[in-house]
Amino acid sequence: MLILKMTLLVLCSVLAAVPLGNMIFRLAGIKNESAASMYVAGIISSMAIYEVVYLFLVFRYESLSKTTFIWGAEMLLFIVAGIVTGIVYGKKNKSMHDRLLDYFADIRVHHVIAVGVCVAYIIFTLVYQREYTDDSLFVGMASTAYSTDTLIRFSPFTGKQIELSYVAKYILSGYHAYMASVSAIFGVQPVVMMHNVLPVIIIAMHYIVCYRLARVILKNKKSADYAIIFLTIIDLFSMYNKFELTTSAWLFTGPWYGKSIIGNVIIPVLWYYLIRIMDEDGNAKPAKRMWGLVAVVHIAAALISTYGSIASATVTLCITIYYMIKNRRLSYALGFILSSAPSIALMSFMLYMQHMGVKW
Amino acid sequence: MMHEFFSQLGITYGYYFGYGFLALLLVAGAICIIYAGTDIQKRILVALPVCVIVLTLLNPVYYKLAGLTADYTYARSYWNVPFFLILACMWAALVRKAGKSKGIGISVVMVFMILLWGYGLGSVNSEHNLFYVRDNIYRVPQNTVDIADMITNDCDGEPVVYAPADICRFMRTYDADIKLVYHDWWKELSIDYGTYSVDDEELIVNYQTVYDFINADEINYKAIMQLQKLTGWNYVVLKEDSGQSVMQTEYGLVRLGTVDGYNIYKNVY
Repeated sequence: MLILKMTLLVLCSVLAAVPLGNMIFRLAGIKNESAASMYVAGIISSMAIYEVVYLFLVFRYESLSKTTFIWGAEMLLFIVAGIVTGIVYGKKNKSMHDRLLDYFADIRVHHVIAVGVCVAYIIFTLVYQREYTDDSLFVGMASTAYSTDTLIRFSPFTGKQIELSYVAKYILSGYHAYMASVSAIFGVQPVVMMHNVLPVIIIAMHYIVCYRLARVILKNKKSADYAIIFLTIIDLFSMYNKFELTTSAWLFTGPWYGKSIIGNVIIPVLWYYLIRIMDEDGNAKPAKRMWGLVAVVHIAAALISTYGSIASATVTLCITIYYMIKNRRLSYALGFILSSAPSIALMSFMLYMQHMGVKW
Repeated sequence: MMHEFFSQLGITYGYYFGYGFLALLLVAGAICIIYAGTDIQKRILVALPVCVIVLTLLNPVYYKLAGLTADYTYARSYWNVPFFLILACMWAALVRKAGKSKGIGISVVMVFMILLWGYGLGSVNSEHNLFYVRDNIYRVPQNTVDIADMITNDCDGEPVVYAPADICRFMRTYDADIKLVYHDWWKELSIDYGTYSVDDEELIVNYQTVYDFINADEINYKAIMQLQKLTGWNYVVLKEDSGQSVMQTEYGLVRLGTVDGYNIYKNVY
């Protein structure tokens, strides 16, 4: 039964994320993205929507079920809109069916190997898992929210009642509550979801984003497939490494940890979107609305961890400065300011709390 | 400040690249891309990462600002550049440029180098038991799962458990309905520190004493029972050799069972 629920969860993540991603891409003015890209954008958008709902409710000590309900209703709205626009676009553009057929007809051996090694990596991660004490905080927070129907009201360690300031460092990031909400919808314990379902989703997202970025850089499907095969080899060998601060090590050690999602999904996604926006040879889109997509990633990063909002703003700033100088376009600065506003606001709030003497 | 900055830069480099094999491969790859890559490859695989590194890792102002937010922010600045993807793309670009036979040669050399980086020169992480299959779908130690199940099946109300550190650690990740007297990772107690008067005796309560009562080689049965009056624990888990312990004979607790050498007692009073 549990296996069935977990399979259903993975399946539903695809069924919900693809239309949601489609809707988000439409809003950003992008029409011809692949279903895999839509999936990544959809999952990230679901996180961003959750963060917005969470921030409004956490300081009012609202219940998890209320948060889940509001988030679920918003998600449903976007998903339905995504499906409707998908159908309308499909009717208008008959080549979509042909494109799907072309995709399957175009599958080559190197593509099958690339997908195969990624699947092997996912299986390896699922079978072999390290016991890591961080779980008592990150999984503990999700389990506590799930069991007590609260966002943050009880300590994940002993279960005693706490004030928000007790976990000041974590209150702005609703990742644990997001996990608890998804678990509650499917009736699966957060510990089961985070250890068994999330690695499948996160590792898949990691390789999809890397593949898309490799396609932009190498401008060739075959080379991008090779890059993914090589990347998996590097990821596999980094498991043995004692230098735990590599992103690959975290991809194996705990794909369910916020820091792993930031390093392996959010930052590569930012690279991909920002290069798509600003690099003229990287299929750059003139649509200013694409900065909105970057803003969505920033909000999702804030949901995942405090560090996420810092890292996403830093990466965006660095890449923007590079292209501002290279393309001699000052207008990118406006894009940076608008898209990074959520991260900057959260960082400022965090620093303000520190300044006010909240224990960090 | 500059000394601290350079020292941190070195430490962080060590954490990310270790003995420097991958850094070496990246530099070699960058040289090859500058020599033989396309414009976009030069831009994204070389110029952009260098720009990000200069603006963050090699920037003392950034180091200072990062330190304001969290102590690990600077250490994780290597994550701002997807180095491994960049290396993989360099590799793929060179293989394509070199043709089939040379490409295979390059790949073999690269795999060998990565193998050296990951597995060789004493960098194997032998002190961590990396590769073992967990006993259950929760990925929580089996004894913790069994003890938690035994307690929740027995308890009608709210279970409050006092147990050794290795049992407490993942208990609430598995079942957050169980409350704990303390937790070793966050060094958290369910009651305030202080000196309490129990049965006309003084009991000093702080993290270390509460930890030692149950985790020391000599279990302090009396203090555990005194703590019961303060924290209201209704289940206690003890690592004991004997089946019949002081808890049953002297304090009248009921033994629920034994799991993996741990006796689980219920306070029925």
